[in-house]
Amino acid sequence: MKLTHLNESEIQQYSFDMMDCDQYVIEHMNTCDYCKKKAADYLMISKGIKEMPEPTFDFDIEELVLEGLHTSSRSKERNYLPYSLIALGIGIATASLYFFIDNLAALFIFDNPFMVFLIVGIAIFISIPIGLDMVISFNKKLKIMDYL
Amino acid sequence: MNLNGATDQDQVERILQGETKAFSALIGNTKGLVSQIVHRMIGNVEDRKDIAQEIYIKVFHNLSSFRFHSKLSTWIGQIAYRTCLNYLEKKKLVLYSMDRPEDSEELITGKAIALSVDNLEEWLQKKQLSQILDLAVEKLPPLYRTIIILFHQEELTYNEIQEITDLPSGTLKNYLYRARKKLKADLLAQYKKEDL
Repeated sequence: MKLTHLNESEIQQYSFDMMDCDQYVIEHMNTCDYCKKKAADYLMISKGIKEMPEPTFDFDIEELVLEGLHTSSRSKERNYLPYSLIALGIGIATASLYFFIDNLAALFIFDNPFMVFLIVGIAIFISIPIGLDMVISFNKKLKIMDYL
Repeated sequence: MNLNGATDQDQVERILQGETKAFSALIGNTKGLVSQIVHRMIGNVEDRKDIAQEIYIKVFHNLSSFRFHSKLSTWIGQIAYRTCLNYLEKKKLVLYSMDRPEDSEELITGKAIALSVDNLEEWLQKKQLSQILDLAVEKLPPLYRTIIILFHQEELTYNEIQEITDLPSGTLKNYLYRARKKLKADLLAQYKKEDL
């Protein structure tokens, strides 16, 4: 049995996850009034939260949603733009293949130093913003983790 | 089985067949949970209306992809949570940040205030506990606020909250622990203020 008082984490675990509690926590709780009181505080907080008034929407959500669905389905019917753009893209790609199929193989022969420079240069140019973005988002996540 | 006695599968089938009443019933059954998530995560009153509408429109359009791996209400809760999360990210609002946990620790362990546990209980019994807690909960960051309400007020299980928030089990328990600790610290601080 633990002879010193339990920490906050153990007390919370006893209060809300007794099934996962270590035996020493339960044994300590059975004999320590101080820790029992601290657990009672947490249970009281839990009870208080349960009794808090529950928020409700101050508008008729059913009516609002059905109205929104009606509008969204109408606007959906009319929105052909994404499909037109996809069809246009496929059309241009097919036409390019048809007209330039003979030149396609030449694209992958790197006997020209200028072509190598161009391809490597473009690759580096694209990698820089992607790399920067990764570093920024990594730092952001680390900052969040700092609060965990 | 939902409040109207229909299973999730029956209800989804009826909605997919175009029964408007079935969708209204679904909204009626789940608006409590959705309202909790929206109110706890979105501070701006004006935006809540648009977000609530957006949530249910997403539910309607994605209902055919629901695979019954979870309860329908949990799935709707997940959509509500993600929609609110997207809103907060778009607005660049703080989701997690809280005072450094050490501050709460200091208050609770009594370095900052010497307070006996008996006094706190007595003081809380005299006060309207739920009113004080309501204010303390409002001070928590949106994510902590939401999970504490889902666990203690909506009485969802860890698994259900995990499904809604997509948080790993350890992280969820850690957040709940910190949120409760912060609530307790706030109550102690409030007590101290009134005691002076």
